[in-house]
Amino acid sequence: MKIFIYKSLFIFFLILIVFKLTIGKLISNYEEKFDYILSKENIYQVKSKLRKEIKSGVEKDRILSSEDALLINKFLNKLKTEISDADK
Amino acid sequence: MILKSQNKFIFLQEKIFIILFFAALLAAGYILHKDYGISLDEESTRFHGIVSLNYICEIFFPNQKFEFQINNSIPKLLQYEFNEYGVFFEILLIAIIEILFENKNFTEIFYNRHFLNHFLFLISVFCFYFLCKDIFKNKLYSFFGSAILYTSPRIFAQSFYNDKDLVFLSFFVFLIFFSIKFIKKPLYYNAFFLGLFSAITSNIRIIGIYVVFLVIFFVIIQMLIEKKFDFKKIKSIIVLLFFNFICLYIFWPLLWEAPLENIINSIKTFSKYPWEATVYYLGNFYKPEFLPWHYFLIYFFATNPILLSAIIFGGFLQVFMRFVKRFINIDPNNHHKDIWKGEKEKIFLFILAIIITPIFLVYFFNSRLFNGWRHLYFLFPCLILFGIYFIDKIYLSFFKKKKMIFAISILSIITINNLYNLVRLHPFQYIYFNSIFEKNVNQLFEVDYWGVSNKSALENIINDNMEKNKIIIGVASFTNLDLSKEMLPDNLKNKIYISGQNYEKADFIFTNNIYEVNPMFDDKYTIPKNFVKYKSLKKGKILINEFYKKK
Repeated sequence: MKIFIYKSLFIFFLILIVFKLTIGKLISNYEEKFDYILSKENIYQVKSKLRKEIKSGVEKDRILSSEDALLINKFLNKLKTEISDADK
Repeated sequence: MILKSQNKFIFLQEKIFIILFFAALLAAGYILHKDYGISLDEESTRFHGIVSLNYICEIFFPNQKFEFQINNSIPKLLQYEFNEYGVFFEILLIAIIEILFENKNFTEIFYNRHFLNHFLFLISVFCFYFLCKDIFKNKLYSFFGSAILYTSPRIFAQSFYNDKDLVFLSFFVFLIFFSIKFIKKPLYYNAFFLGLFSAITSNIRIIGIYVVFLVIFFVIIQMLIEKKFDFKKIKSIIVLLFFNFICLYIFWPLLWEAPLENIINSIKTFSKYPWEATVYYLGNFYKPEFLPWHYFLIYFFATNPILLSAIIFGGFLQVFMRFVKRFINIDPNNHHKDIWKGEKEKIFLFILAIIITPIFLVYFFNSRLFNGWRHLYFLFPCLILFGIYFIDKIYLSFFKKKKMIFAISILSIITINNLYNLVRLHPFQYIYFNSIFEKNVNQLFEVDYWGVSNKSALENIINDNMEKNKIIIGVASFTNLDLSKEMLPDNLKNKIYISGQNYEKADFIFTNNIYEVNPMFDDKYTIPKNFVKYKSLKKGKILINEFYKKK
């Protein structure tokens, strides 16, 4: 009986520790990552990165290559036509 | 006959010495208790008690209105947001201070609470003396054990104003005392006291409930080792469980209507307390649930004398390694080869289990720790026992010929170092960090997280600006200056106006560098550029708080 209790307890704690160090650790890592993605700190960093990119874009001579500019122009014109035709 | 009367004389001498010592420490506590300010949680903790007391009064005295019921707008217990807090000691304090002595003054109420908290702590220190004596059978070890507990700077300061963790620690000492008594002699008398103190301790912090189950486990294992089914012991265990749950039910009004449901709710809440603020640790801000695993260990090491940490670690390692060795060598046919050999080993294995269980639960459930290791302060007396055990073992192994000199010198060094820090840091002992960390504390840790020094800071700023009739103070940290203001005498209190984060109006801005948000990404505590540093409160190399003045 006594040995059975010792062994059961030992195995029980071993399972708990192994679970905590493997699956538990993995879950907590993902929790931490999700929490970081949704955190104020991350949003702040994304905002400042955006600002930085916009600033550097403004300072450049051209933001878009001529092909991209042409493509976007065509796309926007198409959208414009479709929107204006919508209520006809 | 002569020997008997000599023994009686020595016992009487010891008794007189203990009474005188207790009286002296009580007098010291009385002199010092007004030096400490109010902490952030004290008012809310008192209110938890008021809500429960109101619930009790409504049941037992429905036609009577007490002073505290008239003066406070009290929510119903079952709808109260923080009803899962145990309130035994809170109710006792309110009953003594506000009902029996009819204290109505805010300042006096809280100073009296400080004194009673400290009084309880002193009783627990003396109980710890007897606990050590029971274990080590040595008066010097007992004296130094209790002296180390009493003089530990953080524990000493918090014994006045920390009405959660230190009250829990005090009752935990009583609990351990009676647990060991019950393990040694499972009598009804010990079962009653163990049940009573287990109930009170579990009421203050629900985690305390594990001790009684460990005690039962040890008694059962003892029976199995002896291969003797003792019906008397089983009856004692039943009595113990009966008293434990009956007392817990009586002392905890929340359980009166739905005992099982509410106790489970309480366990759930406290296993992952919903604390949403950030914790500043090793130079970074963390959410409490994502703190590094070493938070408790580093905090413990940083806020205790190095020598004390070393002997505690030594004792812990010694007991743990011996347990592992014994566990590996168990022989089912030889009852001498079991997990313990002799009474002392059994007691230390029990203490090891007492220490390991809550730490394991904290890690397993990822419980939220914050404000240092205060949630685990209750383990400190058991850790001191390990420290003394280590000293005793070394003394027995290496220094037996040199009498007790080695043991006494090590324990004296720790006690004297504690006493020195108590005097040096007074009344800010709660900021104590050992010499390894003291230089960089402000870069690595939170210092005055409960704003206990705010009262002194306000007194200083008024004294420096006595000519002004009104001083407007902005607050650039997570602290409640209004609460500290309430602790000042009326003539000083009326001079101060707290403008919070409305810095435009402020003459001064106060900060103790405690933030519930990361100040890198939130500018609510950013001090405007038209303010310059005016005054700092420092102890040793640690900055506690500072004032900025409008240019």
